[in-house]
Amino acid sequence: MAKLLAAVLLLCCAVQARALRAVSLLPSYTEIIFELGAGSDLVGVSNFCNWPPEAGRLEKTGDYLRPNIEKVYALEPDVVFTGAWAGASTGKQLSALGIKVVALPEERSVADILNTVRLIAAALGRKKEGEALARKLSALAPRPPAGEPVKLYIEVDAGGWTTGGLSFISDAARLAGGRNVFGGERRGFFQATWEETLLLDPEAALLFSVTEREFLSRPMAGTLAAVKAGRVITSLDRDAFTRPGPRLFGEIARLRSLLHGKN
Amino acid sequence: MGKISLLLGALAAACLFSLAAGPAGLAPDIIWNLRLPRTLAALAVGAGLGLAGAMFQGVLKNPLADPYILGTSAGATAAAVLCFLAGVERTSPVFFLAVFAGAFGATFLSYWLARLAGRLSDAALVLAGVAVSAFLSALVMLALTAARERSFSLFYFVLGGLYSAEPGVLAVSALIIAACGALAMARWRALDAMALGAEGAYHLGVSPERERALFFVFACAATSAAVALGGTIGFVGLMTPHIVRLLTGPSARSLLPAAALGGAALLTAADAAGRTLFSPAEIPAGVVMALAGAPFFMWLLWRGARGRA
Repeated sequence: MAKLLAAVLLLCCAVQARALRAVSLLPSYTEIIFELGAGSDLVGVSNFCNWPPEAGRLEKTGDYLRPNIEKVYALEPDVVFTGAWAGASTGKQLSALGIKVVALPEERSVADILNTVRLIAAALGRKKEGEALARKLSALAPRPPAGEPVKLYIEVDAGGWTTGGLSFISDAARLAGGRNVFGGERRGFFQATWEETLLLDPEAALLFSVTEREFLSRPMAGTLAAVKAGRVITSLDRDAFTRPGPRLFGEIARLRSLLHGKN
Repeated sequence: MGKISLLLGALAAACLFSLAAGPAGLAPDIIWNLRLPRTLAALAVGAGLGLAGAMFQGVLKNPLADPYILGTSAGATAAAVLCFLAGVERTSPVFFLAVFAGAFGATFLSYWLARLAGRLSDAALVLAGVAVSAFLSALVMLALTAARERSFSLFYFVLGGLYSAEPGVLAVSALIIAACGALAMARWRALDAMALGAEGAYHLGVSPERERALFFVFACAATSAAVALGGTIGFVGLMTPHIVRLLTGPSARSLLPAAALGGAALLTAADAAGRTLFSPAEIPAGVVMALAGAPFFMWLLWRGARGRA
């Protein structure tokens, strides 16, 4: 009898200790989960999750706007992380199948990213690690450097696709000591006319998809203060800077030293 | 004569709008270096598409024919996207040849499919064009999904717009479009004869097959030059001939140049509107044209239905 009781107890403990099975539908969530040391909890990620390299070897569940619901279901997850903004139907469909869905709000500032870190950590039962990671990250980009911010043009995608003030990218530029020239626009991602960009005359240009040569070949690019000062930056990592994840904080520090020197 | 000056007036107004409107006001630098090249690009693309539309509508005797509806643009776009993925430079002759091959192949396929149904009806041609376009668009989407890194700039190209026209591409495209216009103008009598139907044309000493093939080549070349420069922009080729025909009458002799001028005016105005209405955000010219053109297409269908009733 005692033996049986012990066996039952042991089994209960084993079930308790069984790792969570988590699915992440956004690359930034995947990066946060790995950074929390919970990468082994992940059983599935989106097709776009390519960082850290281990994420690339996990089961793929499709893109984040239209994940393959059956594939997610088949992975028998305990929790699925999705963006609250990325189509409510994904969350509804998964919830209807009895899967716990954590729909995280869209990050519009760098502080929001730390909030996402805490929410994910809490859902994974790793509150302490979440606090530690949030502290570590915010130490990398604590506050804007002293001095006048540098007027910055950020081109995320070729053809003038930039971000307005409703994007965390604009806030990241601020923390790096820059001021997004389109930061006053109440928009997220939009295509800015080249004429307006010329008029705003940024002092530095941060390019993620075009080469410097392509940028300089645009009409009157040579008249930009950024070009005259040789501040056309193409060395930052596009994924790291445009995903609201942990790698952004290192990129902010890099941009800060590019704009303001090592200080 | 008054009608021609109306057309020229519209063209001048569109150019003036495109050159004068923008956040920088009338700064000479901006007008000369920025708005002028862009206006020239819009003029070239619009003229090419207007010409192609007039040729297709004339040679096929079909009021719904246009490079967008027939799949010509989709063929050119698919070829262009494949070239980008293969790393072919936009200024290389290979690029232009490939884009032309895509345009011609897609158009011929639509035509051949529509002919399978027997008598070449308006509806069969549109249906075949829709089928070919849909397939090619799906191919493009597949290519975009596969090419994750560059997919956004390619997507932008597929959407159609003139954000930054390279001077080299502009020069080559404009030359091709001008040549197509001149070659088509030299054969305006044949195009008029085709309006009488194959038999009528034959009696006038015109070989319908030969002329059809020639005008297909001209129209596809003009379309592919336009696509190489501005991506997929629809409805210019559909709308322009209908509008200018009201001014010029049906003869290709005046319709072809009028379609070139009218298309140029239409797209230049659409592009200028797209970059000024919601400034500093830009609406690609292709989107502006679809907003204006799709209702026009519906109106044509409605008018056609009433004509038969």
